[in-house]
Amino acid sequence: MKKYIIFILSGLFLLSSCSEDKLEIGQKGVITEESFYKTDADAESALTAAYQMFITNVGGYSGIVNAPYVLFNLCGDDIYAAGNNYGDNDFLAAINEFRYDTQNSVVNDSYKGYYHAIYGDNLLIDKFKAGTTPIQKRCVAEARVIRAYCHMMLAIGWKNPPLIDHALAGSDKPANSESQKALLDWCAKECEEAVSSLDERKSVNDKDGSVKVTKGFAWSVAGKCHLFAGEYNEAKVDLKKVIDSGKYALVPTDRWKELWHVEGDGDEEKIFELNTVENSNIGTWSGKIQRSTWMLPNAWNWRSDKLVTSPTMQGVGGWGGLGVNEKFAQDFENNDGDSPRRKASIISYKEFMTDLAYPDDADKTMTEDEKLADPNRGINSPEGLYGQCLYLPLKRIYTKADVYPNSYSVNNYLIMRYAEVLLMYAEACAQTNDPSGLQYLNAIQERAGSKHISSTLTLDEVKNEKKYEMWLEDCRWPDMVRWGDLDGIKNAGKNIPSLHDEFIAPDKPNYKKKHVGYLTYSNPNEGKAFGFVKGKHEYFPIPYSETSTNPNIKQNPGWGTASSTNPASK
Amino acid sequence: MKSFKNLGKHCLFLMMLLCLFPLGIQAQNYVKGTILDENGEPVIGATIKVQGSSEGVISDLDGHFSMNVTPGVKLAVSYVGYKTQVVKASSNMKIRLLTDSKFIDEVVVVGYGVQKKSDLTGSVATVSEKDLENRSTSDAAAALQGKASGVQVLNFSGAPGQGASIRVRGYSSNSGNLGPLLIVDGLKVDNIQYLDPSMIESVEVLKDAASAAIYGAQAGNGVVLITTTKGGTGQASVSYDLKLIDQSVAHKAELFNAKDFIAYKEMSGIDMDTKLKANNYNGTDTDWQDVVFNPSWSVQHSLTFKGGNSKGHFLTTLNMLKNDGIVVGNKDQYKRMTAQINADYNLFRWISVGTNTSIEKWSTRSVPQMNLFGSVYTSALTLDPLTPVYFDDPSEFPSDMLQAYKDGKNILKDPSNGKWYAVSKYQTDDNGNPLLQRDLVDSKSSGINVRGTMYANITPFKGLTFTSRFGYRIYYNNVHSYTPAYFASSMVYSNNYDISANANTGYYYQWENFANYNFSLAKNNFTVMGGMSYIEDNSDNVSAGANGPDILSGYESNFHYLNYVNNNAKTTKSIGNAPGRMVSISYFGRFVYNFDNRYGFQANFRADAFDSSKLAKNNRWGYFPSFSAGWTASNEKFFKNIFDPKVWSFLKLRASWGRNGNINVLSGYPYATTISYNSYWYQYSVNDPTVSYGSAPSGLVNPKLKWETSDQVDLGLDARFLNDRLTLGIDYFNKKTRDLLVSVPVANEVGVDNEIMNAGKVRNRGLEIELGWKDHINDFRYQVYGNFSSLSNRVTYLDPSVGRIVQTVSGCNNPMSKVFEAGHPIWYFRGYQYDGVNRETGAPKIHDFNGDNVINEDDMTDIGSPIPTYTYGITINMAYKGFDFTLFGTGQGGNKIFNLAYRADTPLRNSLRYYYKNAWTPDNHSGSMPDPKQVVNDWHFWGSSASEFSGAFFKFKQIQLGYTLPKTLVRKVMLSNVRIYFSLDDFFTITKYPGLDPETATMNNNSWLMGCDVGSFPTSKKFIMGLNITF
Repeated sequence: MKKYIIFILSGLFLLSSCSEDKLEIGQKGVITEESFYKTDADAESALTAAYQMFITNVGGYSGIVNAPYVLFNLCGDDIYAAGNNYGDNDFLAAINEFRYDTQNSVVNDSYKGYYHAIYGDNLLIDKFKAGTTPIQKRCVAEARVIRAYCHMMLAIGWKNPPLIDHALAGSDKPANSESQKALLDWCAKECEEAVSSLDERKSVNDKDGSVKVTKGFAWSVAGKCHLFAGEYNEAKVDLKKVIDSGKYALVPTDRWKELWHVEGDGDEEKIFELNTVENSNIGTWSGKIQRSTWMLPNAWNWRSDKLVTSPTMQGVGGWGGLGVNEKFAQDFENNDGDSPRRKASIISYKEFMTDLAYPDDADKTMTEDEKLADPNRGINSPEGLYGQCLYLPLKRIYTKADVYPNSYSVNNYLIMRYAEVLLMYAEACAQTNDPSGLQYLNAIQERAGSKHISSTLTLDEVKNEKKYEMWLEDCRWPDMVRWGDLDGIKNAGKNIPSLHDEFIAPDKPNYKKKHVGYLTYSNPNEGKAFGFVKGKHEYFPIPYSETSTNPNIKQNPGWGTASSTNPASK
Repeated sequence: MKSFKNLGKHCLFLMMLLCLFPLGIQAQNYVKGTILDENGEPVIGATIKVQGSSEGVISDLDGHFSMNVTPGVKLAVSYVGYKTQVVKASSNMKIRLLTDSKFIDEVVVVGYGVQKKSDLTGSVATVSEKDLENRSTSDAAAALQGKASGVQVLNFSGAPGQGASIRVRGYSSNSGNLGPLLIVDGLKVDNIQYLDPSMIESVEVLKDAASAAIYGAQAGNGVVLITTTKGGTGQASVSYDLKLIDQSVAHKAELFNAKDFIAYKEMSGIDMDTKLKANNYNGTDTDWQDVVFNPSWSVQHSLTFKGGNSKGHFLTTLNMLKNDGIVVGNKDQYKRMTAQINADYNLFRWISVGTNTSIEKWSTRSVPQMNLFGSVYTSALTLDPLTPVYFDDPSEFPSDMLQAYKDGKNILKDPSNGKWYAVSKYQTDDNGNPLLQRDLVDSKSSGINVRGTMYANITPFKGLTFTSRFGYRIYYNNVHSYTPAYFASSMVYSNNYDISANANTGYYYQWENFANYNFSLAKNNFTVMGGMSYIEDNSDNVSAGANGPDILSGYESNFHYLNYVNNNAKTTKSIGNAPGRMVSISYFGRFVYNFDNRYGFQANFRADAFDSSKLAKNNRWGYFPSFSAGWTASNEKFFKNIFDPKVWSFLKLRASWGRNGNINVLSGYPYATTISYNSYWYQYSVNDPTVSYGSAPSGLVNPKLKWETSDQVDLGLDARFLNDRLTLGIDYFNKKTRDLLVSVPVANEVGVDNEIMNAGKVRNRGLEIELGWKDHINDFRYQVYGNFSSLSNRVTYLDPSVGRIVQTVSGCNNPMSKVFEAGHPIWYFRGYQYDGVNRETGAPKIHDFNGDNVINEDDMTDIGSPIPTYTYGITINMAYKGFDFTLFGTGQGGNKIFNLAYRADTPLRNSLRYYYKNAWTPDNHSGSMPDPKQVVNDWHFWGSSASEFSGAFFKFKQIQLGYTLPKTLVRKVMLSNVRIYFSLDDFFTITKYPGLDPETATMNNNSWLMGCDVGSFPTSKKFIMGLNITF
């Protein structure tokens, strides 16, 4: 029998002796880190990855909205967080009515988004900062400007969050930066240093020059940093370089309405946009929807289930989450009159019936009176549109061209346009009693078709103009905080209007006769803690996800101490 | 001699009788007697001999014997498995044989060998064939529920073909990989769903680490060893089993009807009157659960052929089942055909060979569940009763649907009646209509699996056995899916069609060589085992799909294939493939020592190495030792002196310590520093859609990663009392798992979401008690068996840099989160604490923990765990004459279910009636739930323990009455056995949970979503008619 044992034993050893090699199985689809971050092509490749991280983390969706975008607008005195009813998408309304907490997903995702974008830049900068070729230098410079922009937005929103100038290890727990001003100064300096290595936009017609970081964008960011740091003279220097470059221009009045839509992508007014172009070779979920604002068209478009029919321009049926602040609407109307800017920004309920095309209009031509008496348009819900006043939003209603093909947006994500640069420059002049800024303020007003043209340059004139021109462009709330103009939100969360239509209200004179809007008000927050608290709400809280994992972070004033929300220290 | 009539059917008996016949003819005086066993059953074939001589007879079919001896002569009565008795011969003797405990000692399958149960020093639960008989479930895992202590079986869905999950001794990982290692006839398998319980001879669960350690790095969650039925010896047989199963919903959720819904919403401060008028409400009152659930039939056939002799055994079984689930229509289906072939043969004295092979063909169709966006059940539970099932005419459509209809969008119709699926006009939600969700996606999966082993046992000399075993698994499956573009509401629509097909193939093989050597030196018995194993698992997958607004050349059902995808500019095509391979090598050994059946000692050791996709080369090997010892006190002289063996016959004490690993948590090169090459992109041109590709690291790197390791101590006691009628088993275990693989959220500034670290420790400990009683009263035999297990689960450590890991149920806005944190059970519910109603105002009292008069996230706390702290099962078997009866039930408690049906942002959904029934009202201040008006939009309330319910339940899993036809009757039609039975399975559930089935009320069983109820396929109750026939 021994031969069998020997046979088996030898078989056993044969198997075991050759086997460890079999454990080596190569990983697919990757290369080693040692073989990367070497050449010019690698630098460009790392930069492309950094752009992806920028667009998906800052310009892309999280949840049903684009977090940084809605966050910087929701606190303003110019909008309501509307919807089906009180409580609908409450994480947005909570911001608008100042009853949000450190766990608010929009605050969290915005904060996280900026830092995740910065990560892509640091990866490149760490490896190529000593690069000598023009391409490597340019790639580093572009990454530095993106990194500076993200830090600037963090400084504006969160005051003095950490400054991250290199890629961190997983165990790193960074502390806050020294101060808001120091952080803004660092951002400005980064941009100013990077400028020399950057490309410049070729001309006002160079669309592609508006979807990557250029000298113009670097100066704009540097100027904005200085402005927010109160360094007006420095701001003027940088912003003037953008103006003097001649690579940017205000679009004509008739194209003003295109600025936020796909037709306006890369136009002469754009300084920087995160670019996305529909490419049907790429699957929806292979990075395409991630760089769109996805459900924001739904979330903010007009509430289609409460309208008999929606105007045909509306790209996708909405949930009505964006409401125009009543006072803001009146001010805008008073300031601009029927300017093309006002009519492309906010639209009165009457204009909503008469100026927009409806499915019915395709068959016949209707007079204004016929339209106002048309049963196939208007609000069909007796409870009305919650959070809407007599003016509905139009500027950021996503059109059919904007949403493709399955309701996510393909229009570019606007980061900086020339009008903001002109307004910032005008402000820096006003702040320094330099009348030379007036021409730029007037240029904005004239282009808008506003009935109000300033004759002298004062800070109030600039403030007034910026409120309307830059509505829903992440400017108003930071400006309110910076200027201390917080009166407009002292009633936030109170007297929420709902827009109704007399046409369907049996007790109203125009019942079944004419579409006439009227408002009712409600106070659903009554009995709850809500409303703006001075000394607290000026800055967003460091999100709970941060304070619960990072013992070195200091919470912003009024939001509790970091230690009280950090279980590690309990 | 009338009993001789029947002998023809009993060849064996006849042969034995013939052998003994010469003894009988030397007749002198006749004495007669009957031989019975403990239960009063006749013992057939017992030998009766005159003591000290070779003369004797054997008892016949009725236990009778007669022999020609002088009365008063001493007779020795013996039979295998019973103690030999000596009696004085007399006329009409009744001799009762007692079982010999040495023989009731079954053999237990342990890894790479078998052991006598009496030699076991670890904790092994055995579930035998008998425990699994005639169950309506077709899933071996589900059949284990309630049958063994320390084993939790989780049915997270009652969907046809949905396999149950097994948890052995708790939850020791925060990953999804908590299931035990599954071994069938020596083959490692991915699931045991293919195994019909009727094909199983025994299931052994290696619970303690010492027993499981022989499987090393794969055994951290326990090991389940399954042995399939072998061919019989002696008579060949053919048997056929039939089960007809009528299933229907067992436990409906308590929801609102239209009248109460309207009343509740009015109480909530919503102006229902206006809404109803505006929507021309006509009194519709839809019970969506009645709409969705419909009784259905399931059929199972099983045909078995078996035979064998002293040289070998053969068995083949064909098992077929078709289960159409309880969702109305045929969209939820499971079909399976399994053929099992088991054979073994002793070629020569020194070698035997064998094979166990199973061939399975399966197909499933399923409806979406456990999802907030697109689920039949979420919709059935939350769609208001005011909405009709269908719209007959577009004039009934809500305005956005009507506009879409006019725009030419696809408004879906039920193909069975041509009517449009209705959606709510009161609340735009994410599901639209449950029947729409049922029909929207047309998805089919089907495949073939071949699983088997071939082995040779070589015995060169007595005591030594070499085993070489080759196991294999070959699979092939296809998934096809088609979803149309459609519009139901502004939240439920798609402008794109979608079609995809997947083909998955793979082969797995393992080759194991090991040797067992038994030898004895005086009273010292030794077993030594050693061996090695090589495993390779290969998979391949090809997938393709298309997506876009117009993707097919036609849209009739015969075009729903990738062949008909068009090349439109907006048609996005996708393809995918990347073959995979996993390899592991192991060496293992065991040493068993037993002295005089009193002292036992055992040591196991295993060394495991896994391929580079799991661990870095320097961390590749893991070593897993274990030790256990047992003392059979009842075999000690002093014990026998103290206790009468009839009162206390057996006592064994066991203790073990062992170490296991959990390798399942590692995959995809988590330690490696790599660059995801060209997987990023950006478009640098506004008009040109061309993309530029970029590269970045694939994630944070942790080269120090290692597997999770568990150390477990087990203390056990086995005892038998009162002539072995009472059996008792007690085990205490304490299992500590360290180096828990945790996806640690890093600081936001790091720039990635998380990092994989070995950062946690979990402790599971518990007590397991098994108690059995077996007796008879004349012909009435009965048996009661119960088991109880407690489980205490705690995260004992989490890296201080982590604090707590928080997961929310995304999409429902509820602030409650599932949290992994030191000092708490894994993934406990963290929410607000509801302290009842303010009796004066009707407002909810939410506990303000930090006393700052503000309720915010700082006031959230541990409000319970989804993990049951105790589980139990009880089985009662009774038999009288031809009747048999089984009552089997199982239960659990100590766990919580968080019901997410109510949504404070969209209060016009249907929800649990519980909050209405128990509401504080101006007239009734005693309600336990607040004034609806004050919580209509209150997330703090709905995110509090007020949304939480006890998950305790007791389920009568089986109530079965069977009748075996008298043998005399069935023999006339040439059958040997016929049994018919009726059974009620899962029929009654005792629970306070107001939602659907508390057993399946979870989003999954794995980790952070466990215990969150958004609607899942409930377990159905079944009425079964069954037939067992043996030819």
